[in-house]
Amino acid sequence: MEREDGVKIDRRRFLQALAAIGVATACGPAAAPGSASASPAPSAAAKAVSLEWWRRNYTPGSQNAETVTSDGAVKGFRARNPSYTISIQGGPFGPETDQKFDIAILQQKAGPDVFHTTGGDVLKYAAAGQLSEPPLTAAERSDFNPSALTATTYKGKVVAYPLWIVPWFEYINLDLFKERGVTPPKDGNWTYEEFLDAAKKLTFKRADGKQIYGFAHANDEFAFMLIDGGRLYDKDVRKWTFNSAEAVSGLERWVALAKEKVMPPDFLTLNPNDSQARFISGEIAILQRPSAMINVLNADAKWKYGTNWDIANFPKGKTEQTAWGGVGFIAVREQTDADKKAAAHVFAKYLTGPDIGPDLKAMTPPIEYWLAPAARTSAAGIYGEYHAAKAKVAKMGSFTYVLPNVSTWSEIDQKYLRPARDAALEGKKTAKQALDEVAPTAQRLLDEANK
Amino acid sequence: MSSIRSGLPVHVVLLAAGLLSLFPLYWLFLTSLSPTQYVVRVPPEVVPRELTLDNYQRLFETTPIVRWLVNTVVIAGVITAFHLLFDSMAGYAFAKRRFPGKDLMFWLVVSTLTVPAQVTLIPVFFILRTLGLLDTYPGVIVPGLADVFGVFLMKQFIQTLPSELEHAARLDGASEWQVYTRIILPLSKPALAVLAIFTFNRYWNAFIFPLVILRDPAKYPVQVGLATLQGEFNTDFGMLMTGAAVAALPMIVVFFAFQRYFIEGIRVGGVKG
Amino acid sequence: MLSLQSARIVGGEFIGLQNFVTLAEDPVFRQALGNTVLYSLVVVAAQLTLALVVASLIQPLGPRSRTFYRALFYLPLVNSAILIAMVWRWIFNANPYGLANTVLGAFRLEPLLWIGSSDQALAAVILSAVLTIPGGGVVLYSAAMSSLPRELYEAAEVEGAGALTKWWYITVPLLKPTTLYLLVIYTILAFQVFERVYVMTNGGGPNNATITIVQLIYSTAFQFGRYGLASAMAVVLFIMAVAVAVVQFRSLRSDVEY
Repeated sequence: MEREDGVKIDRRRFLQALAAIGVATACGPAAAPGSASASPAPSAAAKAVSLEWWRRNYTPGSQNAETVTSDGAVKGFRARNPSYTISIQGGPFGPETDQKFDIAILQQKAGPDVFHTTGGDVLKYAAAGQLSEPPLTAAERSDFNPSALTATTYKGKVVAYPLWIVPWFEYINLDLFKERGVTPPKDGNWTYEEFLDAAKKLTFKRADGKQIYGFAHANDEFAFMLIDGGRLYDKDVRKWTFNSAEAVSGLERWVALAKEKVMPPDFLTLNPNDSQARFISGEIAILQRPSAMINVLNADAKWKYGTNWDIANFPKGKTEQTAWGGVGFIAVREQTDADKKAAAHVFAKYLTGPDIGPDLKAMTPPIEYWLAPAARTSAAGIYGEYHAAKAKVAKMGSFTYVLPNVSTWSEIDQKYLRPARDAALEGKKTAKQALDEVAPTAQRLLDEANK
Repeated sequence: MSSIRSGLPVHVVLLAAGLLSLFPLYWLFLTSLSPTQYVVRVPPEVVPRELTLDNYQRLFETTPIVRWLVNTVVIAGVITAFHLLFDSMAGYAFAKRRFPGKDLMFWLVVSTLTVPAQVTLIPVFFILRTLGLLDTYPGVIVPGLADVFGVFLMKQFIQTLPSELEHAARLDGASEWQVYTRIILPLSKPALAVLAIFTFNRYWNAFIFPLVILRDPAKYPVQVGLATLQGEFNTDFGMLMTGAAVAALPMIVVFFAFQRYFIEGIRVGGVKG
Repeated sequence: MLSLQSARIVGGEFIGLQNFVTLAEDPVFRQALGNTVLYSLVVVAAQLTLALVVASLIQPLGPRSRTFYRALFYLPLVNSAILIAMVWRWIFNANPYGLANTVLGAFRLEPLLWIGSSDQALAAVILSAVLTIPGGGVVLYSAAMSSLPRELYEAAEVEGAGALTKWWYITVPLLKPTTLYLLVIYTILAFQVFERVYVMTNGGGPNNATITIVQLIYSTAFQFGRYGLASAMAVVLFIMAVAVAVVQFRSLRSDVEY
């Protein structure tokens, strides 16, 4: 009995999906002639090639962003290159799927032809010789954000296509600012002192007992440590420099936030979902999150950009404006099948290029392909078109500090640096102590990565 | 066992302890019935203000949850059935029979329990790949057949059954198989029921193995499927908790189905029969 | 097991016992070891005791009550441990409105930081395990108790034994096989604690306060890519668990037959 029910529902949804595909395909080709820029590298081969694309959280049958945009991407690409077929593989976000990717790419040396990846993994795969170098023309190379390219450089060669740069910045609750008579930063710029001052004023207890905190973050980046000029490594990425005076003073600024109690008491354990929930329920005045939170706020009828929320830059320290960000990449796997490899590069260029945004926007219903600002200047514009807040974000990429990659970063970060930072934030060690203790181990791991 | 201890105090204590343990599950169901904005509400509310079936509707409409549930029933069901049969046989062998190397083998068996799943993950993956079983239902089921919690459990239980019954049966000319099926199995019903419940539960909630072995999302069991409801940038908690609530229901059914085998006062004395 | 041995070979070179030396010098591994042992000691003792006591309390009740309570105590286990851990994370939230803190507040006590503090996080994790009556153990003891022969009890009553005497001298010893099973299984599971800690404290807690061995194996192998070192950790865990199991078997050895 159960089985039949399952089959029936599947059939109904299958038909629905067919209908949707039918509509999308019908609109696809119509969009192609209308797209502004010239079509990408000529699909010379009328040869039929089939590719496998791996993307985390792609789940056929669901409506999550990854699924919708991936399906849209395939439609758009096939409209331009009908001889290709693409099948998509997914897996839920989380370390288990990361393992799955690793097992396939590193151990099995088989699997995806094209896949999404992040900074840490890029180096891992490149070191194993599993990435195929993107054939970029000079024009294309200069189109990419330079620090993004650096982040995907292994032993002097660019090994993947930067897809998007995700800047972190401050979301501010305008209602709370108004309630406490604090002026929001003009044009989104404020110094650290102004920021701390605002956070202090915005930490208060209402008459009904509700406690409001000035600031919160999900604890997953070291942004404050950069604002006085602190950097993880020297220019050649050979020396660990995160215990320099600048880094220490940056960490002290962060510790000051804890000391002034402008953050909720569980600030050391907040994960992204928690922190977002707190902001949405009006408990936090300033929240440090990446651009994706814009979608979260937009989806909620109570939040109107410009009316009760806005975005601001990172507080400015002693050096010029800095923000912290992450980069997502599209990588092509090295393999012996030359046709597949070439096809994969064509597809990868489409996924990271200026055409895909307009293609998907023109579909019915329109799909917002870019979940974060593109890493290519020519592709970046459309992100701003989705929403006014995104337009503001698109400009932030220029001062976003993207981590240069080393293969042992994961270990340095999770095993040593974060606990040290925790100890400083809890007040168990001074900032200088914490960073100095980590430095020798970090240098040792850095040396190992550079061998 | 026959002490007369009725009375209020015991019930109060048991109820209090039980409700405390049950609280997370209650929270789960409460969340699944709450409108989304209250799911992530801060401070969290223990007593529901508003109930809605909205999450359930969205779950069934936008995710292939039924497919996931069916997959899980198949996987967990097959594994449980297998274990019921083979673990009792193995347990019987270890408990009652003598054979060379018995102790060593038993130790080997128990020591495999101490290896955490994450460690055997990659070797198992390669074995399955060599056998061509990746991304297939057997690929997920077969490793599940190899776990030994059940063997240990059955051995402990069968050990307590009096040997006179078997001796008597053998004297009467019963074959090994008959001793097993006519005497050991019926007497082991409570242990078998427990084994069924525990095994089904473990494989119902299996996550890492199916995730790594399977590629085709149509084969996903329910916990893997639910994990996909967590987005890169935000998670639909209402749906996640609702999915978990739905996933819990079949387990509850299995529990009640098997627990009636905990028969009272089996006379194992043998003499009175 | 073979894979454990061969995985000590890092990238083709056999570095022998080097990995174990590295582990001995690694303060984070020592921390994980300490946390795991402490967690196991407390949780296993609590779980065994609770399971036995609860099952014993249930046993003399009428069959309907027994069914009800068995279900009541088993039900919390039907759900994935990960999702339950998420709920406990909420309970031990450091804010004053966190459920645990609300309870404290009801007794006019100050709110605690629980998982938000490196001092208290491990205690919070241990508490979350201890405060859940182990349904599996209750069910198992309950099933075992149901098959205990009545004659022994009747004989004891004839001799004038009271409830507690009967329990201690008859029930508990006869349950040794079950107790041994639970002791070994609970210890092994406690040594392998991972999901609970991962979900409740974001994998390791503030300043590595709640890091456990399996968590470290996991991150060392799959996030840092050091399979050799991770395998060495797994070997250490394995030896620990087997050693403990041997001791447990020795002390609870019984050839109980009725």
